[in-house]
Amino acid sequence: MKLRDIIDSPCGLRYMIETLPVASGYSLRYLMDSTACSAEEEVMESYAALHSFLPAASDGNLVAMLHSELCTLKNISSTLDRLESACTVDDIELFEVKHLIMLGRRVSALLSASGWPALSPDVSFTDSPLSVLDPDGTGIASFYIYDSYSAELAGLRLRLGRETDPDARESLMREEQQEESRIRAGICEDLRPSVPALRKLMESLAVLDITFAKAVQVRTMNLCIPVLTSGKTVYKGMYHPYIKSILEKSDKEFTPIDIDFGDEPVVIIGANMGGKTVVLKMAALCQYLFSFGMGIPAESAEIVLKKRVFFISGDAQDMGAGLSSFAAEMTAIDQVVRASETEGTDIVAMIDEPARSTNPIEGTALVEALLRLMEGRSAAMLLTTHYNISSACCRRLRVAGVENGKMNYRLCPAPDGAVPHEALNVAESLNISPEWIGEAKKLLKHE
Amino acid sequence: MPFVHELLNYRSVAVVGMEKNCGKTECLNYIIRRLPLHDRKVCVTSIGLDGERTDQVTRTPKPEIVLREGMFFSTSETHYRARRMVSEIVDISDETTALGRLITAKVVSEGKVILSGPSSTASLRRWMSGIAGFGIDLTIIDGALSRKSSASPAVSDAMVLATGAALSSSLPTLIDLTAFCVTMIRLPLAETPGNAAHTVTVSSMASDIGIGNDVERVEVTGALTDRLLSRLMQEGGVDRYEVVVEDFTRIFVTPGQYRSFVRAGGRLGVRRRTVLLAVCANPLAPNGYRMDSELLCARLSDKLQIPVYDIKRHEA
Repeated sequence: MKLRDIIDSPCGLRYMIETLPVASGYSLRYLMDSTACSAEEEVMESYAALHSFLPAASDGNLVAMLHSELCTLKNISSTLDRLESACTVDDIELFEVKHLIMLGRRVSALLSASGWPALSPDVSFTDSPLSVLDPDGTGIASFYIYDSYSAELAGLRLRLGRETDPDARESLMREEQQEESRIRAGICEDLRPSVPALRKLMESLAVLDITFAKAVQVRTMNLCIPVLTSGKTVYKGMYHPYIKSILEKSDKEFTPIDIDFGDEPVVIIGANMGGKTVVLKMAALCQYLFSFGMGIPAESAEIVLKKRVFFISGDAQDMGAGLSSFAAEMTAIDQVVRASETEGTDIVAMIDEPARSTNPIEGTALVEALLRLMEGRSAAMLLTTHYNISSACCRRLRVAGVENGKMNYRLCPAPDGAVPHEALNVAESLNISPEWIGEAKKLLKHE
Repeated sequence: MPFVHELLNYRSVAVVGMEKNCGKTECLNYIIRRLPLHDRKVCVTSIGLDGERTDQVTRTPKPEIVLREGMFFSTSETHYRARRMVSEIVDISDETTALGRLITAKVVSEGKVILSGPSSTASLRRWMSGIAGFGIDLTIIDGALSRKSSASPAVSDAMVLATGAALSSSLPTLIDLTAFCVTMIRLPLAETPGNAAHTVTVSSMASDIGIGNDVERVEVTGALTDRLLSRLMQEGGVDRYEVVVEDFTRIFVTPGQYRSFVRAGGRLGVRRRTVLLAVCANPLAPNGYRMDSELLCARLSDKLQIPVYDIKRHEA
């Protein structure tokens, strides 16, 4: 599962990646091409790195300076490949190699000077390739075939400078360029042994950029570092950063949610507009963020690592495939069912109102059957519904609902009892035509 | 040569030709040869492609751009590789042109290069701010074929205009066309205040323009075309308000149309002005026709009230 493939998941992952202050375009592409952690050790390692960057990320000065350095980081892997395969590269490419080496050294020096030498990339090998590209030891990032590479080159250039006859200049220029090519081939030869270390340096600078950005995001968005667990996933004070930011713009507050789930399916019921879908979005978002080692939008989080995350929001009508909303949804849920057969405990599925677009009798049967199947296979599942599902095969949670005229979005246990019948009240509060709602009320009374 | 020293008073100067083969590249080379470099950093770039050895359109030989030791220049990857000089790369921009990324380099030993800079004024401006870190005192922009836009005050503070026999083999026509261009360059800054109450914004794209009786200022977004100007005149009352455009590079009006606008009492102003430093005239047309250099310069200078130089003659 590459980040690139899931970034447009409707849970709001793109917002989290877009607000990640990564400095270079190469780092961002590197992140997009990275795959989700599938082993617990990877997650631990990833969060250990993030943890070690947190103190440095509070140093605003360092953050700004590092950002301005790292934004010049470029992907020069094609140049490195060519160097490795004994090709001679031109001045422009040699300049980029030199730039990479000097960038690595500057970043390393910057981190050391700010008191974080442990975070620095390994630049111990760079003395030798740098001396090849900076023969005069000027420490300047520019590059050309310097006079000091050969006495012959220096001599040719001297003559070129004095020559006034255009034809003679032309032939001297040719000689000079031949000598340059000879030297360039030698430079490439000398650089070849350092190529693997240079490639590693380039990647470690990208990783540094990404990890630093994650740490800065933890600080600015007030995210938490989760604890890896193997039992139950527990979120305290979970929020959705995108929805929260929108609410805050209009001076409204986001109600943080507490939720936990293990291998037993959890069903969330509650009034319309009670934020059931948002709970699913948050849970899916956190699960994705966790598998990419990012900060979690919650007060605290204990998370079980899952190899596969499914987030199915019901309105997935696929016009391209010619599927109706029901068909598209069923096909998507079918993937979960099939995956649960073999992977069971390795998957987590968040499904928003499954079978909502069919009649309530068959719909209820489909949902209840799905829950029974999942329970048997110990697959983690969060599901929202308006159907009345018995709590025999799942744990039921209910949105507290309208209290004293205000919506309480918190979740509370609802082991039994009917699903709330608040649709008409909610519709009334939306100022929907009273004629219509009144008629509906009359019909209900008749039943 | 007096005007070369005047260049040093500005941060960026564009060299622009009225037409192809007006001697713009010669004018640029002339400036480059004479600029004092000992205590200032000069960077040369072009907008679009320039510095080819033969003209891409008319296939006539063209002078190459010769850069001196210590100068900075920027060109595309493709043309950097084909340079015939010793130069040191100082920067590679992320922005790409059709010919690859933009390379900024410093000349180590004098030689020739094909210049091909950023392809739009916006990317030229981004590039100029990108190289600000190298402490460049003066940027000379070589405006390519009919790219007067490089002389827009948005990118350059001052300009040198190259005109010549290539424009027309009739001396009066040449003088007329050049004089009109210079008039546009020297248009005054808008006099009327840009307050919203008496200002109307029009564009040549709009199908309908309604200008009330109390309007004092008509702002033109985008280009001022003949069509827009004639529509304004049809509406009547052009003598009541001032027409304002961003700068002279947005004006695409023919001399005749402008004259009838002025006769009707119209006033044209710009929001931003550029400084015209000098006019260079090339008496030789690519088809071999040659004008009398002295007469050309004298008549132009008389009409424009600005020094006009024939660079070839000055060098001889």
